[in-house]
Amino acid sequence: METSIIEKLDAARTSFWVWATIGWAFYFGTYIVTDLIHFSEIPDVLRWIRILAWLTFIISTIRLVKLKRELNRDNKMKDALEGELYQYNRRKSFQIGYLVVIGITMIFYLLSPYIVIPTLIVTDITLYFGVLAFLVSQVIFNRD
Amino acid sequence: MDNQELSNQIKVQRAMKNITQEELAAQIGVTRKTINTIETGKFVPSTILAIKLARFFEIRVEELFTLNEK
Repeated sequence: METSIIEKLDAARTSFWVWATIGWAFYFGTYIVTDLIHFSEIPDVLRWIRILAWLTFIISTIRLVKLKRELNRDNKMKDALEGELYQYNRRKSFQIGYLVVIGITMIFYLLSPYIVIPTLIVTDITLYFGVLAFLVSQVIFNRD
Repeated sequence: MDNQELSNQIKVQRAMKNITQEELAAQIGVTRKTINTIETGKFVPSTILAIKLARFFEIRVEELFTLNEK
């Protein structure tokens, strides 16, 4: 089996995950900020960060999907790159994301008798940190 | 299982065969990271992968992996 190709694809995949994480953090992060702070007009800096981050997230996700489709055409390469370590790390990342979602839901539940929080903010924050926890875990577990 | 740990002889066997982690990974059909994490004890491989490694080094699985008391 071609050693360098596997390692190159593995490094490329790790980099796609890193950029998807950065993209998500800034895209959805700025989205929440604009929901929390009611600007009369969204500042240009925030708008540009959101656009760039959205593009970064979308491009990285497309590249991850493309890589996955390429792997599906080559069983040996798929077995190597989506081996048991990768699957184990992915399961752990999903578990962490799930625990974060439950944790945030519990915090909002405990706060609910004292403060009124709009449903949109609750959904935004839960989704943001749940996905971010999964992505960050994925990057940490699959780093070199 | 908390008071037991799995140690392995992969590094020693690799040195005897004079091959790198990357070369071993290619022979077994996994990534270098997989070999690295098994070698350093961070990841416990499946039985299938353990057998593949033992077969490659032409030794028994018990010789490659040992369960020790902490």
